[in-house]
Amino acid sequence: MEADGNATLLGNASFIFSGHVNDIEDPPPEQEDEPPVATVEVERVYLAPDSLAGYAGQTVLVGFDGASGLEAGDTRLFFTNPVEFAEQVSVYSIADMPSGEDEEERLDLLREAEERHQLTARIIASSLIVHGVVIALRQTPSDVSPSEHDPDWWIARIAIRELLRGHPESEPGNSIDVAFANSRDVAWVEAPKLAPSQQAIFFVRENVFPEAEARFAIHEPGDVIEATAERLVAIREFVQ
Amino acid sequence: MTSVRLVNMIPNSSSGEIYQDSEPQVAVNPSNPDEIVATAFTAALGGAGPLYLSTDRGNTWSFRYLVPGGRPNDQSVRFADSGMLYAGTLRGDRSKPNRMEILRAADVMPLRRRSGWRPGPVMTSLMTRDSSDQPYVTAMTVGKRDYVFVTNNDSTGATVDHSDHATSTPPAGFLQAMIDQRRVTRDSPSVRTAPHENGTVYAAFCSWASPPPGTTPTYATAYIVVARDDNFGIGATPFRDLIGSDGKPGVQVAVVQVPFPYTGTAFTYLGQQRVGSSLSLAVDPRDSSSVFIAWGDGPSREATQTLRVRWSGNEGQIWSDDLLVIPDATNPALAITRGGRVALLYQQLVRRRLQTAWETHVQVTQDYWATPAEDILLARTWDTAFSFDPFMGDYADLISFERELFGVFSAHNYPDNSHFPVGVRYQRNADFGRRLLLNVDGVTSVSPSVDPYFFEISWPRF
Repeated sequence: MEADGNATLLGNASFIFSGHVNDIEDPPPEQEDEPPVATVEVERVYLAPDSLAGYAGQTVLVGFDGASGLEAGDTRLFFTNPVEFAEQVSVYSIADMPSGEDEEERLDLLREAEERHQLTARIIASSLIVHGVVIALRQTPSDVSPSEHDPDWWIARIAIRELLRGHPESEPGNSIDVAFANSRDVAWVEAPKLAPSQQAIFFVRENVFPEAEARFAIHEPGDVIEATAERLVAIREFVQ
Repeated sequence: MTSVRLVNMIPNSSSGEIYQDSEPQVAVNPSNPDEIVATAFTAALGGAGPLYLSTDRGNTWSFRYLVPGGRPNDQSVRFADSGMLYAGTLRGDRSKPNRMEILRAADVMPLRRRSGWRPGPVMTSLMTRDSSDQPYVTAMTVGKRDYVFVTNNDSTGATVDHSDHATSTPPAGFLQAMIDQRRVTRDSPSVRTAPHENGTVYAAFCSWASPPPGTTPTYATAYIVVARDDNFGIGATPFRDLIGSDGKPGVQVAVVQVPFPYTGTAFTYLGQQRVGSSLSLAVDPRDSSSVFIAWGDGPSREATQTLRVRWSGNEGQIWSDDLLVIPDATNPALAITRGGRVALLYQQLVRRRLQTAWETHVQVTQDYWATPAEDILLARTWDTAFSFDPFMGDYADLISFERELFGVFSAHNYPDNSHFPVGVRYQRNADFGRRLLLNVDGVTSVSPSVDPYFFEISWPRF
């Protein structure tokens, strides 16, 4: 399997499992344009939201975008997204591939490819990439038109250990100020919250929120990741 | 004899979920009351947010991912009598902050097994606008027209986006009406409408009158205001048929103190629940001149937030004193049945020795609280398992259909019969004997969290 060719499979699928096809049912004649639906017994769950993490041994209905080519008795690795939680769970297959003893190794390759893909996307979306440590925090003045979904912008001063990408008015050893949403409101709870002494790789964006009062901002879940040697090497290589 | 049916809405197939499914709303299809739709802050999967669906009058529930933009940051749903479903959401994606979207769908019911199986379609987008807050929908069909009112708190204050032909091609005739002519700055987030089939439409909002400067949590003077339109909101100057003593549209029902600035880290909390913008409005379906309002204000020495209910019998011109006062409570929702029952749903924090609990009540009166109302205690649940604001939601919901009441609220899901005095049916796996939630395998335990609950309250027909 060419992992890089399937790099987005893991990113686009929220429920990945191997399963045994118990049954394939074609659509009724009056809906012959509809794809078949497979009843699949989940054997092993590789990636799932909380609600599906315990689905080994359960059956799910799997729908396809066209002819699946599957037959009853097949065992496959499914990359899916849930469509409905009813008496049974219905999922929509975005890809499937043969299952087998080497599927864990293949998924590891896919995970690596997915991480490379995500990293590449983050690098491209970032104005600056900083390996650094948070040395100070302060709250910005309140919005004149407050809302229950106000991001509650704070400014973190990040001391730069290594500037991996970009050209702020700083050199390594200096610092940059970055806005982040400190609100725990439903609209912002998943945005990264920075803490004093936090060390990480920061994927810094040009700020598009005027009320944040900063040139740079961090507001998506993947904007702050743990600084590992492998990631630092990968970023340096990509940027060069 | 009052009959109460209470159902935990998490489907059995989602028994493993541990999300904070707060801030629910419910809509009953008037053209087929077996069809009921609800919303909550349930996690999005695959890029779309879920709608809770029932085809058997709320006995069983599924959910299906139909709402564009991921899990909305606010959401509200209502059916028109035509059977068309309308929704107002704040999109879950952060492409633009607080992007309100008005949506429509002719059919959202569950997938037909083994036929017609395809994901979606997602609901149809009718319009969007940025920098809005807490869209809240009411809808009705008169003649062959769908009238839809989506209140929201635009950056310019209380607003109603309304259409008198909402089934038409997008943007479906929606017009924006800013209804607060007193505002100094943005109003409290909650804005509500109550339409009557004769064309009378009431709108209520909380207008901040003297917001203090700065970010320190404090309190602002505010007006509770009710405005009215007598012709479905149609015309160049909608919601100006009720003029206050200051010559401005809308009558001041009360002058109150409310938490300010109601933002960021400056919220006021009752237990783990943020409070400060609680509002509900209901018109009598038998008499459009009779309208009730409920709101929350405070704090006072007695309570962090106090709910109050008042009534007007002359189209909102003159209002009663408090008919009902409930301390330390939130999420009021009023409804009036065609049988003349007036009901208030609310959630009250109760402190007993070492235990703090949320009690979810429905009070039902037939004499405007002149005598003590029938008080139905639906749930007494824990104030734990916080993940984000709002803990139980900034609102719960109660609606009437014919002579029955339908409602939803969110609360902790610890499976203990003593927490549900009227009884409860869980769809998700739960062992009430051992007080355990169980995953789909019926064996593995699952952590408690906040779930949505549906209820119907009915009375015998003679």
